[in-house]
Amino acid sequence: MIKNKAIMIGAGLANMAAAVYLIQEGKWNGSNITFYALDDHGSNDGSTGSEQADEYWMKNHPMENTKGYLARGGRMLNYRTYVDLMDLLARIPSATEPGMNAAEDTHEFDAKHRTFDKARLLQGGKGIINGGKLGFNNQDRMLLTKLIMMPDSEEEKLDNVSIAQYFQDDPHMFQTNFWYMWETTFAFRTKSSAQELRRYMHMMIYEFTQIEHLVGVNRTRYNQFESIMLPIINYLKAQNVNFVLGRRVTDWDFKDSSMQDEITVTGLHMTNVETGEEEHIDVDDDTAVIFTNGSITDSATQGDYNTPAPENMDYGAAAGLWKKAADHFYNLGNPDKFFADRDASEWVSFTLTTSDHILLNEITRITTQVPGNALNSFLSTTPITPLGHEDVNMSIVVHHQPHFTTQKPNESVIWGYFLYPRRRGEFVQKPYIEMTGQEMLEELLGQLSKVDPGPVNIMTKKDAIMDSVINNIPVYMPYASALFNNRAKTDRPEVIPDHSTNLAFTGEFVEQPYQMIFTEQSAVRSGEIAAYHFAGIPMSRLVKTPRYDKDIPTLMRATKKMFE
Amino acid sequence: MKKHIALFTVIGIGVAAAAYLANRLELFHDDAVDYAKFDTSRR
Ligand SMILES: Cc1cc2nc3c(=O)[nH]c(=O)nc-3n(C[C@H](O)[C@H](O)[C@H](O)COP(=O)(O)OP(=O)(O)OC[C@H]3O[C@@H](n4cnc5c(N)ncnc54)[C@H](O)[C@@H]3O)c2cc1C
Repeated sequence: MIKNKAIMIGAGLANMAAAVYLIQEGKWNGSNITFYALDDHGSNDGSTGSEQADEYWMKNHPMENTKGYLARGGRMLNYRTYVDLMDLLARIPSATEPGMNAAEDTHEFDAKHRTFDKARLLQGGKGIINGGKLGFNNQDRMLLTKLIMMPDSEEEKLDNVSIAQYFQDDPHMFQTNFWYMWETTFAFRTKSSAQELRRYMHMMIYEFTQIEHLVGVNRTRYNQFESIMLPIINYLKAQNVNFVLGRRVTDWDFKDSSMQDEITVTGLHMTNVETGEEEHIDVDDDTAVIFTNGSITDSATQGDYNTPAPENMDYGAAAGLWKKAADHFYNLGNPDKFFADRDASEWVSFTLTTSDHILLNEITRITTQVPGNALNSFLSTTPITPLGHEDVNMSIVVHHQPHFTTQKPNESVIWGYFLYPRRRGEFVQKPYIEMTGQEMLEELLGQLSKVDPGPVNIMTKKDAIMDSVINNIPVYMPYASALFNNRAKTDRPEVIPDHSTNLAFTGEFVEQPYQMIFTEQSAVRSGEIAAYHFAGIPMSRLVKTPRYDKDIPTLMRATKKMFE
Repeated sequence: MKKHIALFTVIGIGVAAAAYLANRLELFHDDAVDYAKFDTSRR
């Protein structure tokens, strides 16, 4: 239904995209759009540790050492498929590069710093492994081909099938270089959804042929907040969009209807998280409500160099509100599928800031590549999975420096993550989730020393490296991979659910045609659809989605790759 | 005659394989249809 005003619940990329399209394509006045949210970055964070120490999820967990920088994740883009994101960025000025729009900024940086990963996989005793040899047997090939050949219309066949179940007769799959690279590039776990793996095999089929070098990965100039969010925020503020931050929206008022299925929001309840006061706003007939119904960084907490990240058991602001809506109506999905099983979704990451380049140079020597274009994953040398397989212990991204505009000349920032935080360290004898920033760094140095080609091992420089540390901030994200949790197609609401008159859902927990989630791309696309719906813009003007999964030469290259 | 049968068999198999592939890949599916129900522009 066409509206003239919008309330956005959540100020992440998806809703910000919706606002840009409402203004530019719908010709709306920015002052007719109001955001209510906890913060203005969502998952796309990036700032000093001190700035994030005071945020909502940390309010019961004060950090002692807030020095250094923090970005809870790195951002890999893929221009080939991220067409809606690039369309959005082309509409707004860069926040850091005068005279460029945000898309030109990223293109210019990326063209000068092409990704070509030379050390995607490393393993003790072997050093750099040739990941180009995917390591498939015929059963792996057959099962993957089945996924690739399964059309969108048959996707329901994979309702409630996990990746582990899909490959249950083929445990060999989980011992292939393909799996080690795929699980760590995209953060799939064996408990994740086979339906989503199918979507990745379709949307990322072009990249499948060059996965070992990550050639298709494009990067922003700086962290995702400064290169993606800040330009959008600056633009929206200049358009007089209202941002009411520090609010947790906690409940709905819905219109009563005779059939009890009309979805019309008439009011919202929220908490001012700074004062603790309860607030209420009315939603009139001319107002759309655009809600991001899940966030993978909700309830995320930070530790510091001497403290592990604590666990915050909150269900999440986004998911909590989604649950209230889903309890009321039968067609709004099942949030518990995504937010009630932390064992399937949690990870820990860390952001390490050092005052010099010693560690950076050592990693450059060991991995034989310059900072800024790699994702290095360290394979175990002993079985570590419940099936008794080797697997990746940890992965790191050494950013191009500086990764933050305010970094001092010699400071460097490195990011890393553990996909299975309850596994035990190899060099520090405790689960990763219980490790301090210092212990995570010790674990990293241990892994690097195992793959160091020498002749002088990195461990000889350990003291100098430890002395260079400004901080290493561990982050526990209970829902980091929640969007991949095993699901059926009906577990996520559509962007515009049936019988909705003014409520849209955006982000990574909505059902959209074709899109794979855990991407900036799908978040933007969901916002674009919501905006077009409420502004009466023809859907035919949505950015065209390329379909490499229907491109015969690409499929042939993928087939050839399966035999390498 | 034998040559003709062989030729038609090969062509037949080729056409059947192409049709199967086109069907599996939904090559003729128009993605725009998937969004039609969200379209408010003409209402
Ligand atoms: C560690 C990590 C690595 C990633 N790597 C990549 C990558 O390499 N490539 C890539 O493309 N993408 C990556 N992503 C994913 C990408 O960041 C997300 O897809 C994108 O940011 C999702 O945007 P969103 O607007 O849907 O949600 P979010 O960014 O999560 O924003 C939603 C916001 O709305 C708020 N909100 C919702 N409901 C309420 C409420 N009731 N009250 C108050 N506030 C509310 C939430 O708290 C949240 O802040 C990564 C994400 C993480 C965490």
